[in-house]
Amino acid sequence: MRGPAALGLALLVLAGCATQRGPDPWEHANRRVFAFNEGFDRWVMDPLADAWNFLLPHPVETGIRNAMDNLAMPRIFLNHVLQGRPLDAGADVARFLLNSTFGYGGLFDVASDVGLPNDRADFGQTLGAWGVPPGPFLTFPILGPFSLRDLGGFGVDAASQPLSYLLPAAVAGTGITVVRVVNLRAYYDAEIDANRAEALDYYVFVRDAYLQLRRRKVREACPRRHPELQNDLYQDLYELDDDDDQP
Amino acid sequence: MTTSPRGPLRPAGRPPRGWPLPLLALSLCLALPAVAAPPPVPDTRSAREVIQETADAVIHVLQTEGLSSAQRRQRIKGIARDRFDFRTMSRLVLKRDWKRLSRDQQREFVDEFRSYLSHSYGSRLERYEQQTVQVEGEHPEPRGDVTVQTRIHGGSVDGAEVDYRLRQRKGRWRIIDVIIEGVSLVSNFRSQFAEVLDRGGPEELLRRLREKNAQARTPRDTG
Repeated sequence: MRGPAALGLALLVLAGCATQRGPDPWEHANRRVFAFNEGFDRWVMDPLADAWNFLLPHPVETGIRNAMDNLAMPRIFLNHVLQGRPLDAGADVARFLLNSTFGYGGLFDVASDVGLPNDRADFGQTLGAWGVPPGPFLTFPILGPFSLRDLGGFGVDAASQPLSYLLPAAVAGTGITVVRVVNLRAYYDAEIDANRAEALDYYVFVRDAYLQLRRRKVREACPRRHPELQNDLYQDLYELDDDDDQP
Repeated sequence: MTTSPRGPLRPAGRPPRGWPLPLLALSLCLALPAVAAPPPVPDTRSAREVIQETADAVIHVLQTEGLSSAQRRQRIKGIARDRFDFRTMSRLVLKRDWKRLSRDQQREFVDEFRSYLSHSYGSRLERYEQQTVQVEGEHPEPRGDVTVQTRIHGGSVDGAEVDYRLRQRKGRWRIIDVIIEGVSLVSNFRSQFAEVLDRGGPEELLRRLREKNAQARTPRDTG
């Protein structure tokens, strides 16, 4: 399981080098992979999601999602610690204990109901909090959108999953990942269809939404240390030249 | 009305964290003329009230018995048309490219963008029967804008944070951006439209919008 971590670190080094040419210097290649992923979604993921939705009522899907979130606790805890957020790390432990017991092994998110909402943390976010820039945007086959930094973080997070060490890693890890991904895809089936139908350019929609979501994760992790993260996007977003304000 | 201690939500009335003081002072100066010279028609509703009333109006439509899905969508579209400032949104979305459009193209863009956005708003909300919206707080932004923070409860997007940015024009607070889980619609549309403008210019952008709106008008089975 050292592979993903090593790959992750290699990508980090790359991310540090390639930040100068706008967020999407590899757009041409990315769009080709994106088209492939769209095909994969249409012929594999969407039918799987439909079958999943047909077989399982929505509350069951929510339960599976909660259980998967609960299993991710060690990763979230570790990253909160690395981000210097001891209170949030403590809350992760409390969440895990509450949901594993009163929440029937994580199927119910009782912790959210008592004021401990799920606060996902990942290593890409940690790196962002440490000042690593996102680097170029890239679309990975099957896995989808990433910034180079967050792809590296993804590798490190995957290597830190305790389940892959406890159980026969290849089988169990893959099985759980497939269940998690199909479940999520099914859960958001309607939203995905709506976004795809409405977007003028679905590739750009996904890229922009992804980059904004990741910026927010990093902002959450370090509100004070990186004022430029607070401002550079939203400063200019709402500026207007007021000279032609017509009805 | 609880505000989570861990989430990114800020208490109402306080500036966003991390705002450097000079910028804050500057934004206060920018807001001052608006305070000094009130608009001719005094605004009776605060930004927060506008959002609360909008949420209530949408919920009312969703809970009215005996409406078809198309009727609901139509009514929610009507609410959107009233509460959004489409002209300001159009200018924000096109940014520098706004000037590349002729007056006629600008007018047409605002019309098409209005249909596009209202349809999107209507067709999304129309499905969310079981959800409620809770207004959680508001805080001032530069240029006199206000952000109102809401959270959705119930349905498949349970717990989602939706922020509305409002700007006062002609004495009325109207929505100029919707930020869903940190993703700004204005920013997202701007990226998409800029890509189309770069490749095909204003005419191509208008053509694509007209096409999308025509598709939306054709009744399709959304389940």
